Amino acid sequence: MVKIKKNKKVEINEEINNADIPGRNEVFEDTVSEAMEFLNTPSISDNLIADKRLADDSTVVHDAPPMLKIEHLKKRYPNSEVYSVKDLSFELRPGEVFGFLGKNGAGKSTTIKCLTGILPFTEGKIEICGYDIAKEPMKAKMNMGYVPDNHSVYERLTGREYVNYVADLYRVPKADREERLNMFLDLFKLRFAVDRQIKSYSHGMKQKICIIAALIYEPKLWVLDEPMMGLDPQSTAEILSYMREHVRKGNTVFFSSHNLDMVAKVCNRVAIINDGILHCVIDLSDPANRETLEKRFFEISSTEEERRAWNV
Amino acid sequence: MSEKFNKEARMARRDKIAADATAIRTLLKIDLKSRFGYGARIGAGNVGKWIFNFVMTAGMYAVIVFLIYLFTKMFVLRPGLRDGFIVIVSMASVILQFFICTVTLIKALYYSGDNEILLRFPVNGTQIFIAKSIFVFISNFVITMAILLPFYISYGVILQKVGALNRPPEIFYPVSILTTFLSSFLPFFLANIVAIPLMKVMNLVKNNYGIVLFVTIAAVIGVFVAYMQILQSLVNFYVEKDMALFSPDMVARIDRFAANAFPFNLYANMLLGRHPWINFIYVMLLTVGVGIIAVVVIKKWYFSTILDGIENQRASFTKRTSDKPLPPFISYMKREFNGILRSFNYSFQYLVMAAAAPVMVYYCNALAGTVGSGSVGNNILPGISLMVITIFVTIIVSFSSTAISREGGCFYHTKIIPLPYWQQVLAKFLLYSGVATLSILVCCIAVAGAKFVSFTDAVMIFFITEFSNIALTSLCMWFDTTSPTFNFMGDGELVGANKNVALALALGLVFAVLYGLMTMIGGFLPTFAGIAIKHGARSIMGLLLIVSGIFAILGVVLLFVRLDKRYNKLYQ
Repeated sequence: MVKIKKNKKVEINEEINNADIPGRNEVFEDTVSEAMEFLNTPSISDNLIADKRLADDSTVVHDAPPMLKIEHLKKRYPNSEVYSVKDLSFELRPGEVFGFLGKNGAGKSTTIKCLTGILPFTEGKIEICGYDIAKEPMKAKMNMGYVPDNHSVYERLTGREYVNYVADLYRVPKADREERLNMFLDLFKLRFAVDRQIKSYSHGMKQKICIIAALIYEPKLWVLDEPMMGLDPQSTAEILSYMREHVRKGNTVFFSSHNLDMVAKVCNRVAIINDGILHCVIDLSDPANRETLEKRFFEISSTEEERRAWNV
Repeated sequence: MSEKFNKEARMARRDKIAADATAIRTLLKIDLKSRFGYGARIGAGNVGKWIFNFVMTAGMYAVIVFLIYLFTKMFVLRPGLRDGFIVIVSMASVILQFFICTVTLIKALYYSGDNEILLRFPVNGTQIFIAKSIFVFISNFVITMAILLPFYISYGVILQKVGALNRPPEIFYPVSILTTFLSSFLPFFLANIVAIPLMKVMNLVKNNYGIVLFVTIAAVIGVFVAYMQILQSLVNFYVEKDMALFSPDMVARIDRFAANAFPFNLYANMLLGRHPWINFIYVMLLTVGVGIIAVVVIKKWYFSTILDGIENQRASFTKRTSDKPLPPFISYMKREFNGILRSFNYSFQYLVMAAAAPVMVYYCNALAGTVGSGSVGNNILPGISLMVITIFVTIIVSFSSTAISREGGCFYHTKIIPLPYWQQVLAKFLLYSGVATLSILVCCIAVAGAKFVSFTDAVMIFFITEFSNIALTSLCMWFDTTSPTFNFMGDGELVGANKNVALALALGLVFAVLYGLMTMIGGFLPTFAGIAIKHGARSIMGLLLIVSGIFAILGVVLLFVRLDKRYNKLYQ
């Protein structure tokens, strides 16, 4: 049984539907009728085009313990004189989508790699769902899903093998993994390729299988590093749709991006980092903050001369 | 008007030819630079490295040429093989070139990942094809000149010394060069013809990993057994000096075979001056004929075969697997195993060597036994078995020195999953050392079954080599958890050996030789370093059992102690 919340519309891509993919008709038969139910409600992509805000501020739980707590994080790479991240602190609440902005080399990916356990950090403390990533890494990692920016994935496995492997690592029971996998395969329209070796996937399909693998265990904190890079608008809409769905269940989404418009529409709050320093955390439930986001981003990440030259 | 039009057409044709030539020359330069370092500047920074490489290469080549000279002398003087020798050498050269050319062609033309990149530049498919074909021909020609020519020259020098060269030297040596040059065309054209159906078959079976693995193991064993049989015959010939292999009757049979060994005898006849012009014309006709067939085959099927390959890659391996949950540790191991099995390079390094090792150990023992026991008696056989098995264990487990490097772009994944680093490393350790253990067990059964060693000796050899397996696997993996080399190009596969593999191989070989020599010496010496050896090789093996056991413990400790700290420091 496919579970898709009724207040979300699942876009049926006409092109994909009309394409002649062997066996696809049977596969989609069960889900098309359900997906069609949502066609009458405004879609994520419609909202994106119509410049409507997608974030739902009512999902944020303000008085609950933080899902992610970063305190005075400092990171300096070996053989480097300078700190890539300098004294960074912030907290993420349950039910919020949190955007992380910064120009290239600002320290976004370094911060994300520190909080996911990929990189050791020089000073500070990172807690995921109350577990210190340095002291209790296994418990912290059990609560976190990560989607990298490079779509690196074990390409010799089939999509299903990879997702099941990740589900095994996170001890997901059979019934849950089957139900979730079916839902995601329909949501991301990847059923026709799930039993194929990943090396035959396109860029977008690899990104989708990474996302499915990261969500198969329903992590409380879902971290994505520039997830929309290189994706088509349809796929972007699907991912944004599920981000909202994920936080509605009381989870948290933390993602880095360069797309200011999208961040303004989707996120509850956003942090801007430049040269490793966290300059501000902006509450986007305030319409004035949304309108001035781009201006503030450029003020922080560029000089006045540059802004004049770019005419922004 | 028409004259003007013709002139313009001629000029356009000339411009096109010039553009084609420039594109082909540029593409060829790129290939030559990547293969031979052609065009690399020698500056103050790399002059030392360049001189070292040059001296090493020249030294190694001098050794090869010297061995070729000795080999030629052994057959030409003692049994008196003359024409037959040249025919057999030419035949071996053409067959070898054919295999090398086929492999190089397939790699360069069909499996090369740069075809897609090159097509983005202002060059067309035909230009890429011609440039790559020239590159393959040049590679083949260099190899032929380096190997075949020394045989011809050695033959001339040896016979000239004894006054038996039947052509004037000033003709024989230039004709040697011409014959070598001409003999490199035929295998090249044949390889072009064979490569296409071979690629079609490979495209068909490449996702049947079990079949590919089985065929590869069978081919490796087959080639090795054939090679060892020839080597065994040569050793018998050398050791026994009974000339059984090259008796006058045998020499006459070889000469008869050589006289009819078409087309290889054409090259020999040209070189040895038997109707040289007629044989030259035959060689030219044959080469041109096969060349024309190759051009027709290529024109008709080359691009469709490449397209097949690309389409086949897209519609790759498909398998509906079960969603049944597995324990994390087992699932991790399974993922690692599938990753190895589904890569030709990795399965070759990991599984093919392990599967072929028992056969190789058997033949190496038989061969070494022939040489060794003839001079110092059968007591050295346990030492030889121990050395040979340890060498193969070293080769098999050297694969584990890329345990972390092979993660490539997925290395981040090992850091984010909730499986402790020690469990991840243990899973890989068990997978690599486990295969080596099975291989060692079969090797020991083979040497005991063939009565090279007694049952007790085989058991002792098993434990010594098993402890060595544990120590070497640990050491190899320790190297890689300390300084891995990640490859981010293509699919991230590590095709070449990295520095860790070389280091692991060197260490393993030192231990193998030390263990083997000590046991061999213990087998026939009454005392060693002033200490009486009471039970011969067995007492030395007892000592090695303790030593290798200590190394195994030290290896495991080295790998797992402070592993978290080492692993945490690693990043891409």
